[in-house]
Amino acid sequence: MDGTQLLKGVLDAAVLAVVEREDGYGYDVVRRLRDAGLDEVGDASVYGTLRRLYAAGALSTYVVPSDGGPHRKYYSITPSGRELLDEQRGSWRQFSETLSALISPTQPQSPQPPQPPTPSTSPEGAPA
Amino acid sequence: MNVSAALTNAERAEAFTAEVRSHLSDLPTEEVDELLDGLGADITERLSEGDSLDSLGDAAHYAEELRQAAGLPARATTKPTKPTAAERAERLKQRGAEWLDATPGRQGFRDLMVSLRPAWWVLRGVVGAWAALLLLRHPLINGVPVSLGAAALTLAFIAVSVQWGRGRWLPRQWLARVRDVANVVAVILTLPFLVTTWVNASTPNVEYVVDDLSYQGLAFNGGEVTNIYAYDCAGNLLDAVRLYDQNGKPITTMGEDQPTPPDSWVQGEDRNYAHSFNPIARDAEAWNVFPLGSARYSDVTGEAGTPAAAKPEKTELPPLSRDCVDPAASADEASGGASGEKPGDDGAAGDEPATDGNADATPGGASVSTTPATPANQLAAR
Repeated sequence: MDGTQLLKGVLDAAVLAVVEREDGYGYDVVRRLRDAGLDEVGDASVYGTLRRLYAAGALSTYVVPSDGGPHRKYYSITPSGRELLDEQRGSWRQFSETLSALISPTQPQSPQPPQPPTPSTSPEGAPA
Repeated sequence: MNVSAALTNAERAEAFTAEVRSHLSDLPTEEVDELLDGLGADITERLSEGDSLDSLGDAAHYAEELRQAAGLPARATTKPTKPTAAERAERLKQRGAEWLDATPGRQGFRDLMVSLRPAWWVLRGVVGAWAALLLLRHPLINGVPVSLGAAALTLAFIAVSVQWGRGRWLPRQWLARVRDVANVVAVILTLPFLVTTWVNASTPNVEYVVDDLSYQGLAFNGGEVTNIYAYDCAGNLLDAVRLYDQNGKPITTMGEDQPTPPDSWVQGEDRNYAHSFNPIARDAEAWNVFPLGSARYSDVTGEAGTPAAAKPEKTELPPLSRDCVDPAASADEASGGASGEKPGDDGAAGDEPATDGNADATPGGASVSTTPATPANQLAAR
């Protein structure tokens, strides 16, 4: 459950990255995301994301007739989709580094907690 | 699941897709189509890989997730926002406009149609007037209502139609709606209008209306008969003959219904004559007693003079046969016996051996009785 919550914020980047590697149709993208380890990604979330990215111009579509079945709508990344992906890569890196640093269990920082009282005193000291 | 097990994967996938679609029914069809395009095929593929439909979860939940991920608004829970007719119409209009804008060819077509719009406004007015006149049961000529009133109504319809087309003459909001409805009705009626007009134009249904352009009265070889002169067997002009047709109706040449005495042009004299009753029939006011009286117009005053017996071209004709009694002679004989004024004539008539016999035979000669002074002798020509 936590995974899905976290995933929501970065599903765009994940989908863009998968499609950038290789064009794919809806379920194909779902499968590749799962194969990559995002087990909890919902089909509908991926389909919706694909549709939204398409509407935003980050993806384009083309139809490929499948043998013996209905046609497949393939998505491929557009130049503006690449830009978007680069942007998201950057912000993800920054975010993950920040968060990694923030939540990593580093012991030396444990004496710090007494700090909270100090901010409350400093405003008082400043005017004085 | 027992039921669905009997279905093929594709059928189950389609059923699931349909269910999802029903949960997205508040969205524009186009949007839903885009969203669900290929979903059936994907689910079929999934199922064929051994997954069960259960892994997809509830269709309502699935639809909600799809909606959120696609950045679409959540479904309004209070009421199913079915688009109103106006919204639908607007959307249709918009979609039509987008379609027409898509390619240069369509743009050209659209521009052509736009430039032809005034012509449509006029045609619309004509069609409207045509329909209105049909409803009013206006008489049709070749399927087309033709009259001054019809022309005026058509012009009025055209004026309103053109003004409405230009967005004028719509002081109230509802009038614009009336215009839109009228426009649709006109579109529907245009085809029958064109068909009717075309059919009637290509096969004219000519009606020969025998209009009474001719005068009221008698005609002979196309010319007007104004007066009639009758002669008896012996060739004497009869001065009062009453004429009737085969139905017993009086035969008149003119004047019957006219308040003032009718005129006629006498070619030989290059002069107009005012006609009046035969002097004998003046009291009876019978126009079927011939010859009619006439009075020439004065060159000086321009007024008609006193009516008198009209003068024929020929006052006397040769007798029809030798058996004809000369009534003048027989009358003289009769009156001569009484008065003895004209013994010479009397004697002459009396000397003729045939006279007596003819006097008895007058019924045969009845068709030619003449005596002006004795109306009893006049015959009714039947």
